[in-house]
Amino acid sequence: MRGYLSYLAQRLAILAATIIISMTIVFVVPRLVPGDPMGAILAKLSAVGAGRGSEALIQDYMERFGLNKPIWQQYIDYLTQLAQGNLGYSIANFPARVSDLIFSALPWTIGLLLTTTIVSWIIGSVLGAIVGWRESNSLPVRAAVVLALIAYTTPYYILAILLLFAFAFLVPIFPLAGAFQVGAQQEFSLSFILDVLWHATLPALSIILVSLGWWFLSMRSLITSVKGEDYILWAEAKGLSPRRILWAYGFRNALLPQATGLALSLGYLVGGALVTEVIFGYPGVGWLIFNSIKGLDYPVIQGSVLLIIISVAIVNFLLDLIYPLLDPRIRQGQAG
Amino acid sequence: MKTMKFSLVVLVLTAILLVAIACGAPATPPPPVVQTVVVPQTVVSEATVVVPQTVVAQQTVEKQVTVQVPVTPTPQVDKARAETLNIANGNPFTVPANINPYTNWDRGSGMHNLCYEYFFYQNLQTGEYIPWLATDYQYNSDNTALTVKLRDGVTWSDGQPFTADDVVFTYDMLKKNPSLNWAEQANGAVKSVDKVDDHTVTFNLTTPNPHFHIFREAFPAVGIWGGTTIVPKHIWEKVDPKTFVNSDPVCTGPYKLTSATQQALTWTRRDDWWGTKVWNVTPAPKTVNFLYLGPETNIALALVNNELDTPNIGLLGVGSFEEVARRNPKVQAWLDKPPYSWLDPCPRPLMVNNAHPPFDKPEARWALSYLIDRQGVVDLAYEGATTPAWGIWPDYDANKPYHDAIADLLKQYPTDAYDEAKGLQMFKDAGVDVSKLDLKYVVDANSNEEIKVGQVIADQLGRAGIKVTITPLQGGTLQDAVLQGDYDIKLHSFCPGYIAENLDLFNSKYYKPLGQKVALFEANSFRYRNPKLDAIVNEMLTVPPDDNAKMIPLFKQAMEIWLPDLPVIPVVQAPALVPFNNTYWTGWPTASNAWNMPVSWWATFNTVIIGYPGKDGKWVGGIKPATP
Repeated sequence: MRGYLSYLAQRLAILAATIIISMTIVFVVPRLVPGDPMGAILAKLSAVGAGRGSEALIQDYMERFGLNKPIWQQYIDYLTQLAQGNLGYSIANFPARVSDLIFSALPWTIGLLLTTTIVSWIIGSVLGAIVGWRESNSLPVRAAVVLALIAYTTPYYILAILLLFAFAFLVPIFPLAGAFQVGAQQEFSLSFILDVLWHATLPALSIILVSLGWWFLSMRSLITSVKGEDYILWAEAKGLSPRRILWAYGFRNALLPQATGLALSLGYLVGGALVTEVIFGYPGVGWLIFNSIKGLDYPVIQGSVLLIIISVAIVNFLLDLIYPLLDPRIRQGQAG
Repeated sequence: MKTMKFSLVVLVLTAILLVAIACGAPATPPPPVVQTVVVPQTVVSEATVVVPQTVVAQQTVEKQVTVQVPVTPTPQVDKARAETLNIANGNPFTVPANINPYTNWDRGSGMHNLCYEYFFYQNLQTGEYIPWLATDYQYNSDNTALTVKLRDGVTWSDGQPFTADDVVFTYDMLKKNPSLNWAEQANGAVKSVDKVDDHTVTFNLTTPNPHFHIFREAFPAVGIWGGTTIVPKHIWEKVDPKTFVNSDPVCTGPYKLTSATQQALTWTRRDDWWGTKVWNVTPAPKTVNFLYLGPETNIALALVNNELDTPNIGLLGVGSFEEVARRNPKVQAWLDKPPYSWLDPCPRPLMVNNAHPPFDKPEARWALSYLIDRQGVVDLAYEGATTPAWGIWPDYDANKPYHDAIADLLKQYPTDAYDEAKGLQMFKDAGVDVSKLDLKYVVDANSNEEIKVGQVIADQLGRAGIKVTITPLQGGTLQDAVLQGDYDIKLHSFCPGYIAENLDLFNSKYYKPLGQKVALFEANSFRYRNPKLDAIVNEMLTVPPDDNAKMIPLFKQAMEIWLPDLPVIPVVQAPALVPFNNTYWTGWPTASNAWNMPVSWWATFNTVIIGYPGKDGKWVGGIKPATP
């Protein structure tokens, strides 16, 4: 157990260091981009013919967001604010708070991407295991591989638009855009949940179809490499059924790297799927981040990127904790 | 080997499938045939007042009157959809809904056309000045004060009366918070606002200004896009206007906000709108949705299957529009053939830096003008969606008298002529060696329009032998470069598009030497100075804007100076391609029925939905349901 505790402490230290270094990078990088948030606001103002004489407005913004202070001063303010858990106000959408913006978009992103990631991982892994286990070069096997390759390399954009055109337009089963019916009351009623699921079908389908290919192919190659292991031979010699060998021995061992991949994907999912969100008008975090980068909206960029970093770091941390439980070999490595 | 052959087969099949979908896709099943039958409604409604003749069709039927039309039975026209107006916006909305016009510039949400209302609306197409919250305005003898009579019977949505107190409060708020939108302009033009009585206010101006009543940044009259918004004192005096989100707004307009999400703002008609009592008019749509549908493809699809009635500007390109119109004949734009577009009020000239030789000589500027093939710009950069411009004013009916007055001058100084040989000759005569020129052409990297036009013009000039370096900039760097005069040529929109105001942009009072920042790109980053023009323009600004008799001769005098000088080179009119879907709503303004401006994101859109009181007391326009 002592070994495990020191392992835990080590991992915690790495987690903390990652987050602190990331916070600094997140602060510095947007400010390296040429231009500034005021320029983006000015562009918006001139687009509506309001550029004339808006000095007071710009001044007010600069003061409120501390943009006229020296950089190191801004950095200290930024850290202080973060320590208090305050992500600040959005510059472009003032007076919206960054936390409001992120947390109103987050449920949609998490809901969509969590489901699709897990579903495509399960389907892809199972199919990949089955296909990879067979020695044969039969038609279904080859077809599956080719289809997976096509699915994997097809850009989201193309597939999403094809799905949209086919199932929201030509044969209008699914809605064209949005997360739920316009004007619907957002409550936890059955009708609302069904409405959300209905609207999420096409976006989810496009993501699942594309990521399916990746999980399928990676699982297939993992299984193929596992097949050659000694313990598989031993299991066959013992007289176990092929099905049992596949699932209890092959699949379980191939699962470890696959699970790592899953965990990493889960960490990144708070970043949203920008292209899907744009095409389907889905109100997720991807769109928020994209717009904030376009407008150099520092607080929103900082807040959302920080969220992604923390999420990935924490998931990695949890994964490191779970690994020893999953794989006895790592557990053995700790003890003593 | 077998796998490869198999893969090839699958690939070919997929390719065939894709091609089949792309080309052979049959036109969508035609939308439910909605017969637009004009049935003079014998409306059995509660409204008692006998309204002037033509207005009968405006009244929405409160009861479910099923009009039996003896034609093809109208298939399932969804009743809820038929009472809803759907407008597409280009961005998702920020929630919580920010309906504060003083901190939020995004007007694609319905805030300033469904909720807030203004004293007067300018119908730029016809030249009318429409009284709405106010009924009359009067300048004093030396144009230093404007007295406005507010309309009786106007109420806020919570029942409180709209009075002079709200006006005084609003301007007071602007004085106290100079960082609010347009506060600087308002404070610069208005010294104070006095309440004369509950329904009369007097604006005391800082300088004599007979154009104040069309100065939208300082006065609640809507010209282009928006105006100064009067807010309810009893709500706003309790909040900090800089941080007030106003998600449940109290306004005078006929719609209230019932739902706000990132993808849509839903406005529902309220029964107690003051306009119904005063004018006996009710807006036809029961619900108005401002939606975010996604990118251009989604908007095109939604227009074809009638989920959408109209998008905001710039969301549908010419190619998409033509395809949509082909599949759904009920979708129409201002014109039914190219250039399709309505004219945006701010034309696009090419600014030439008058302080950079050789363009300090008018001959050089004219030479450059002859080298530009405006029709080529229209065809290539705008896909045929606009027209070449002879000047810096939109070709509205209201501006026609001005154009006619200088017709002779324009023959002498053809500002839209393309003659490469002549241009090159003029350069030679002016002693300019074109092969030595390297023009810095600054374009706004965020503007597709500017990028496209830049490439076309650079190409044309290149053909003539002039080297052009396109410099894309954005944000702060763009602002700095242009305002300081660090460019040779740049395309820009010249607003507000009014006769005198656009000439005023050339006033040397805006001049600053190179290196110092001027106030705006269009005033006067191109560094033009001519005291003779100043004198005329200053006089034009003392003449009431609708006094054509006085204004036209002055305009002619000004053009006699401006045309030979050609400080900026007119290129094109600005296109506003706004399609409207006639499936559920008809009566939209078009070129053949040019009763209003087809702009759904401007504050004047309420006059399109509801109509407005015309000059002779008759009610003008207002959209109606396609199936009564």
